[in-house]
Amino acid sequence: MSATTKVAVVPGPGTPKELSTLLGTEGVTVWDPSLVETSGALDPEARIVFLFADAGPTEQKRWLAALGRGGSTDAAVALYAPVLSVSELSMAYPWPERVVGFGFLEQMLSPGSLIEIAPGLRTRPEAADEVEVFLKARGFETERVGDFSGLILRRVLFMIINEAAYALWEGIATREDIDLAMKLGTNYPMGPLEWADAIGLDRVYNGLKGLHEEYGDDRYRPCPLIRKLVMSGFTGKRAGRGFYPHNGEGVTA
Amino acid sequence: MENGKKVLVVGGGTMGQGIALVCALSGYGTTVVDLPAALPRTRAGIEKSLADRVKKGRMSAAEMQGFLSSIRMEEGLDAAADADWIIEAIVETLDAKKTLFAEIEKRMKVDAVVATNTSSLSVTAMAAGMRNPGCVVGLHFFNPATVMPLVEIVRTCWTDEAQLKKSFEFVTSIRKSPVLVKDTPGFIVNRIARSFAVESIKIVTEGIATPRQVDRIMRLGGGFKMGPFELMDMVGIDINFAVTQSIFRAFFEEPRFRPQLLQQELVNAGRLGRKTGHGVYAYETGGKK
Repeated sequence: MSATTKVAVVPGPGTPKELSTLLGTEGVTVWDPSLVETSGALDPEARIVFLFADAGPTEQKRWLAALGRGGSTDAAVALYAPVLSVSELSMAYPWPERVVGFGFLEQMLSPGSLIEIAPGLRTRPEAADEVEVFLKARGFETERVGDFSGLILRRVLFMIINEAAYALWEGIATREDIDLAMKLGTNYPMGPLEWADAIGLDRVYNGLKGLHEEYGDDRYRPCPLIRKLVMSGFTGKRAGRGFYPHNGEGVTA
Repeated sequence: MENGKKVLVVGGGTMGQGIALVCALSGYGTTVVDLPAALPRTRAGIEKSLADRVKKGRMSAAEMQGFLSSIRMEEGLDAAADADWIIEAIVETLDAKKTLFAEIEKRMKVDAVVATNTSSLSVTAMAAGMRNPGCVVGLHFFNPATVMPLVEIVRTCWTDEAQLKKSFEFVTSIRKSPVLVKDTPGFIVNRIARSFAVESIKIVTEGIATPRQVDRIMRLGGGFKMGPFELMDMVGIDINFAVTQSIFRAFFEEPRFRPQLLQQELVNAGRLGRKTGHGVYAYETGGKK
């Protein structure tokens, strides 16, 4: 196993713009998401299929099922940003023992940054090892973590963003002051609201809903302001508007 | 060097010392008031901060002596009579602060601003009972005050617009960045930063990752300068737990702020962080874990 291990990628929602930072350029096959269901085993030589489907649980299960209908290879399936446990989501794939969760934040992805790897209850150790060895060979740090909704980084960050959203919703301060305070008062690399706009409010919302569903604990209920923005299509930078306007038109969120 | 305006800092602990120094360095005629028994410690603390600046070449020894002699240390509240700014940084109990504000109000100039550096009490409750509650704002500095660039300006339902405007000018004049926040538990930073600490503790409690893993993930994966557990050990587990409990209660037990047993267990064990040599991590003498 080396950095030129053949891998495939299904570039659904949440695929990083600079995919080569993650996977390199050699030995990478990019599968057209629309062909996943119809083309059979798209590249039988691929050892790992990286599946980007940063969406709600139903969508993530749908993508896994579609990938499964494409036919059998013995490749490991690395599922990006599981919004429920990998144990649960992997059951949508005909071979759950090959599914491994992994997570990082695109804004922070750079050579040497850290990627989390989470095997589910049915995951074969070899599948998790393959994904970890590949990412290490690509120059990333890794941590093997327990299998739970959002893994570690997204879970903690989404809780911070949710609290910042509540603070904004309750009108205790402006969005600019909330972001400035967190950057200067406690050294955060980005303000939570601008960070949320960069990630996509729909993804933050799905992550929080996933945690809420797994725990059934009101601690994780998403702030109604996030829901309102998402349902209005104001999902952040990609949509031109989230907590902030991003199209230069000075609308207020 | 002095700008003609006067600041009175009441309370000469760590925060009071830092605030006094920041004000003096920005040209305010500065007085620190504390109990007689506490003043030597206050003087020593300010002297040490200034000596550190001399060591780093940011100030000459002569300038240091100048600043040191310009900061007045007093026992009573007489200096309130001609102060433009009165900033309290005394013990964090509402009764003590209300008593102090009543004494200050008897002596202060009519247009002075009375500020509290509280991080966990209601500024509104402190102002209530004063003849002119509109003169009170929160000025929440972060530790160490000489280094941290942020000041949260806290407004109550009474705070005068004129006092708020003056507060912005004041914070800018001492080279800090102001943000404005309504008087609500934890203001902005301590409220939102709860999740960084407490959700991380919850993850560890549930066995999903170890503290060391969480710290690495947040630093190397999230771009945070310190991991949550490293930060908690630096701040003090007891302080973090106290802030968590205070905000949880202040929000009527909202589950987002629920404290975690592990915080309490560490406090019960006397593992309070770097200051006791052992918190989440064990520290060798010299502070390295």
